[in-house]
Amino acid sequence: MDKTEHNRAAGQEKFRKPASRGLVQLYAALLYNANLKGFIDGHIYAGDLKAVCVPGLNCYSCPGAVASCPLGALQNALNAAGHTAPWYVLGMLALFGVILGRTICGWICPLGFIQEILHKIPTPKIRKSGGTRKLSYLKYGVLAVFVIALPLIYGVGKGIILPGFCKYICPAGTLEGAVGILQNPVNSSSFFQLKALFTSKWVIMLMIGLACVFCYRSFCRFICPLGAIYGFFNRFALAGVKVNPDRCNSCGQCVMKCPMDVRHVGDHECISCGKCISACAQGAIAFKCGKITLQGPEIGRNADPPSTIQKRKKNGRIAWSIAIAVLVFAVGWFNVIEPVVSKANSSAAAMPMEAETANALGLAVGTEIGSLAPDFSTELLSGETFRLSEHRGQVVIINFWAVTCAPCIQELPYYEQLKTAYPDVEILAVHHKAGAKNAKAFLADKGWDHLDFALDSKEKGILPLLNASDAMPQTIILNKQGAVTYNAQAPLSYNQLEELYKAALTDKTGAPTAEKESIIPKPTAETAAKPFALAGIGLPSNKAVYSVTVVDQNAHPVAGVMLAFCTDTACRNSDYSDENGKITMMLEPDQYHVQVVDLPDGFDGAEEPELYMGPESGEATLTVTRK
Amino acid sequence: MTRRRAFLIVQSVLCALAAGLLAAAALSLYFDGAAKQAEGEIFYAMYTREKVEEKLRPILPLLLGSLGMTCGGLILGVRDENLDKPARDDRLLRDLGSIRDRAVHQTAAPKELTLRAAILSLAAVLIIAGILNGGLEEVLAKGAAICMECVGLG
Repeated sequence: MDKTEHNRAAGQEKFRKPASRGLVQLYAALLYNANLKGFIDGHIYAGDLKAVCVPGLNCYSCPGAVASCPLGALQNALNAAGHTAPWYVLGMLALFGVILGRTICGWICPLGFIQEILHKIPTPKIRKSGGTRKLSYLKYGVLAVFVIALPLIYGVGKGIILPGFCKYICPAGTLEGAVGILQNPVNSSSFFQLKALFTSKWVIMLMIGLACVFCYRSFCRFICPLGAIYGFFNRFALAGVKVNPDRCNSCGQCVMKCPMDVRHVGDHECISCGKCISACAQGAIAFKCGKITLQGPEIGRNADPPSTIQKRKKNGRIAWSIAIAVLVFAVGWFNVIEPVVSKANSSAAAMPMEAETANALGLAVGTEIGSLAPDFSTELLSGETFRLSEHRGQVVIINFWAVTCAPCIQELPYYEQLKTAYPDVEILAVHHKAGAKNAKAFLADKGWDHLDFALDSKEKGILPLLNASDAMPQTIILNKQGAVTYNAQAPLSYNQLEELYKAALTDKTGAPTAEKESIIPKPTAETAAKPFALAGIGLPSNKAVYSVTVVDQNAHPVAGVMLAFCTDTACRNSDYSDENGKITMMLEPDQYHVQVVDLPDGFDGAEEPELYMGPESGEATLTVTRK
Repeated sequence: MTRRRAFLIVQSVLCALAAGLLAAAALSLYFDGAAKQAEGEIFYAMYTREKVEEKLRPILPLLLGSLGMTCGGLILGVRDENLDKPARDDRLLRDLGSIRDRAVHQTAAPKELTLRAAILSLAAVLIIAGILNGGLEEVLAKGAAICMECVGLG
């Protein structure tokens, strides 16, 4: 009813709403996120198309995303500007800008689409005013500070990766990326990484969403730096809403009815939504791409002739047919054809010898906790070859990192520190082959001589073999037998890393004696998905320390004794006692019956066959009899 | 107060309440976790799927109620009657006279055409230079893995 009154006021008999815009927005959102299987399997698309940016704001960590976000790519490029000039991303932005300008915001930005849907929620609305117009300049500040200054200052000046806008503000990252990843049970372990950053971004996203309900495209108008960039090109853009000055009578209906903070049609705030076309009683406004009219005045004075309108509609139908065919092809390619082709090209498989070893140990080959990690060999940056099976008898830590990943960079020094403190540990840091040049440049002056660095392809080699996640950093820890004791995508502190290393050091999964003597609780699907609820690995939060000193009749310490700590339902074998006769176990607080499992030659058993230790941690002495 | 106005106000309250409760749920999980970690439990997980589900359960009826009202409002055509009134911006109203001259015209001026061609050429040159200097590979490396800090996970 209101709409009719408004149109009468504008001097029009009927109101023609540009309904096709919503369909185009939906189409663009689907095309950008054509990797629909990503939402089901919980993995992002990592193919070569990710080297290309889409024009709109669409998080490249969204499981459905098939190409990169231009704003994220720009921040990343500015971060890396110290060693690689950001020409490519700047060129892409200039290309999108000069062809489409802010038409991208109005027609093919998924976040713009979401904002418009939120604004449809029936509530009182805040109309544009002098206040909102002033606020619209905020986005230029966001662009200058969060997109340009922070990445440049931290990246070039300090060598720290900081995509300021993505990290602190971007609601697309939280909604499409974080929620998109977390909604899938496969990624349950990602919940463990959520801390202050996620909490703040979640609250920011909700506030922006709420603002969009009451105020049209609040994010787009006041915050979006991508819109600010495209706004610079709007005046010269090939496509956009444009005015015929011969028909215009400066009535101002176009500007007053425009929901954006424009001063005139086509200025830096104009998103070419086309509302002004139907608001103009003079038929002076048309949506054009060069000389081609995509949408023109169809009703009222100066309306286009019916034959032109019919021709335009016919062309529109042809364009839609082509567009739908492209979408069908994209969905088919990313969800059906591409996975099959990738699988066929992948050479990842466990070596046959590893399967035999695993059978002998009673373990499955895999990367789940409690499985035997598949063997592999890879060439290190130092030129040497690393073969996993050659490191049996050592705790091995495999870390997947990327030079573009800030948490990875923060975490790497802890591995160097660990290796310095515990020289027996073997640490292999694996980087994706893409970005190898930057990785090498990054490592050149770090002096991390204790770590082994390797480059690997995502399609062939270690990454698929160890089922490496899309999320980085990921760390896999193997015990001395090569069994996985920890596998999670989470940055670790030094204390956490040290605790996990010590736990792997005492873990007996896959040990021959363990197979015969003890019942090791196998991880369930639920515990395997949780990085810190590891089967059989001591954790400070819910474990107690049990220490036993093994001595002979003369109170001399005895080395080489293995004990079993048994409850009513299961036993855990210890490591062999050291030269001080000491055995330390981190176990769930319980009543333990301690038994001798293995003795060195010259001993024939314990003096006291029954040794019990209580639920609280404690120390005890066990005397064994020397023959 | 008209029924329409009452509907819009109730819907506004529901929206604000839903957003507030969702934010409060996250903050509550965070502060609980931070307290545990401060006590020395370095592996304590602030968020788990179970904890999140538990926090969301009481908010769900409110979200569904809000969604129901939204659907009802859209079907009944309930909307803010002030929405289509002209903008309240004095400066805008003063500038209306110059709209015709300042708007982007359908026939681009030669200067604009030259600038457009120049930017288009520059963009092409930049893209080629970027491909040659490894910029393409850089974008791929970033896009091929989940950007933990970008999505708020890391």
